Amino acid sequence: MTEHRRYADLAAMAIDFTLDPIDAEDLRRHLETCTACRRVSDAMRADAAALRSIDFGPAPVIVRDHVAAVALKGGVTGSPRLLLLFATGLLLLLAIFAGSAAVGAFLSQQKSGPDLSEIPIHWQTEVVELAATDLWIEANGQRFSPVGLPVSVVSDPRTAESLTLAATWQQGGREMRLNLYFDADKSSWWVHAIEAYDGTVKPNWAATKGEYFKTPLNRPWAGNVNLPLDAGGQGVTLHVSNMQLIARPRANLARPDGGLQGGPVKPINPRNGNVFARGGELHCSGIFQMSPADAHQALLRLGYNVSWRWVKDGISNIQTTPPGGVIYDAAIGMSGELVVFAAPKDAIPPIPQSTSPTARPLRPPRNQPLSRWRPKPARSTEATLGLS
Amino acid sequence: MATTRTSVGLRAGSSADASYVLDAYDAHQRDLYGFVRALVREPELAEDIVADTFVRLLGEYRAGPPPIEVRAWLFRVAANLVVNSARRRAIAGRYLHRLVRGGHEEPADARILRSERSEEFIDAMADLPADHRTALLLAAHGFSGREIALAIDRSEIAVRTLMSRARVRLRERLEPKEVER
Repeated sequence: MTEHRRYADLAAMAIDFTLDPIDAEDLRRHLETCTACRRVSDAMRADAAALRSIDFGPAPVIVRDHVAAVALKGGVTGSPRLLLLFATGLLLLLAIFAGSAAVGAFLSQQKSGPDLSEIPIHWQTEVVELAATDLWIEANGQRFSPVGLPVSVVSDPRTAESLTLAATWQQGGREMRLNLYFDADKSSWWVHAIEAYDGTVKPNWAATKGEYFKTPLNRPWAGNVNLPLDAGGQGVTLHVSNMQLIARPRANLARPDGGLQGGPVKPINPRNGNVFARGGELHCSGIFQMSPADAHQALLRLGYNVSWRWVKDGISNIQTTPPGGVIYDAAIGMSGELVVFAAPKDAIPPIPQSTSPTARPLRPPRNQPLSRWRPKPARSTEATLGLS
Repeated sequence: MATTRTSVGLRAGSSADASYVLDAYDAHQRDLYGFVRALVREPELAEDIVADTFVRLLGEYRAGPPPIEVRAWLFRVAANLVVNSARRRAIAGRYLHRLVRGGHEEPADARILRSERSEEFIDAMADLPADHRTALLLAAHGFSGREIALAIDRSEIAVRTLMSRARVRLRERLEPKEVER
């Protein structure tokens, strides 16, 4: 071990522990004179800070559902996925005790609705929630109802605006399925297709298409459903009593980890995913010339979910409020949020090069090289964006 | 290391059980999930381990008395579960992981954000021994040397050396030529 290696070890130890006074003094003196070791020491402290900032966001809802199901039922263990059927069957009980904010907010909209303990159907995914006092499919003179049975409920958020709710249960030796297909625009969500198994041993789909349950975004549809499904002449009907249904297009996915809440994410320029490119919604918007605080307000007004990153000394940290400094870059996050990078005015880091045009970080809409770019003084948000 | 129990054979659930474990879940899940995700890297496995950890907390509560330091207990048990799962999955997981990565085209947005420093750290840490990773992440979540020692079943003196070595190794992986040997 070289002398420098010994000091690296001491510097590393000093991050988490109090050194022996002699070692501490020895390290201090060495770092005063050895640039290389001082850089390593600083870098290791920066590493420790970066590790503290790693955040994957909350655990998925399925984990909580599983824990709640076990707590309420007892005697069960295993993987959440293996027990998904079981857990979803116990969501009714979960609704009683979990008291989650989402369920509470959803159900609180029923001013005189049924008591929580009386709700036999409560299906919840990350993007769709359905509660009802009864649900059954009438097919071939028989009644198929998932009430009281284990139900597998999944959603497929296929795009920002199009998602599904698929429920599957076993009844009388037959598999039953109910699928709802949702669409959304900037103001509303609705169901555009419903399909269900027809209750036969070798099931066929019974389906209907149309515009059902159209409701403003962030509000549930409420009512009774008696809907005939086309099954090639067979009589198949979907019945739902006191249904409350809500779709949250990208609502869950668009919530940035550690970031800030904004409105629903708007569709990104479908051609190249770059909202700042020509044709993109924020092309020539002036966002890059604003202060982070002004840009934040402007982007929220435009309906974006915004997640801030403060980049200093090569380290990007998630910020819960708009940082200081200047905006130097932006990107669309994996959850559809707009990730905006800010840095100290005198230390704008280089933009990483990418290999794919679609993977390119979003640059300021200007022709000059970024290395020469410096932000102009912040302008009025309203003037720049033409907002009233 | 505290003894953990499986939940097999637990008595029937009650609202008090649910309230206790869900309160703990709501208070600690985000931290714990981040800790486990950084250790195992696979979201599905992390979810299983987090769920299993809270199920074991439920077992402790029912067996009584419940842990006094719930947060430390959760991290300790989760770390243990990570190590156990890693042992079981060591070979199969390695190859499965490669297959999944090879057949999956990462979205463009994901590629952009992968350039963020946190991903770089997760990648760099993947090469460290499990106890090094665990100790670094426990320290990042604010645990003391004594608590880390308890979690990874080492003496406090050993943890001092281990932590120092882990930080130097991490730096070497981030900047291979920076730390002079």
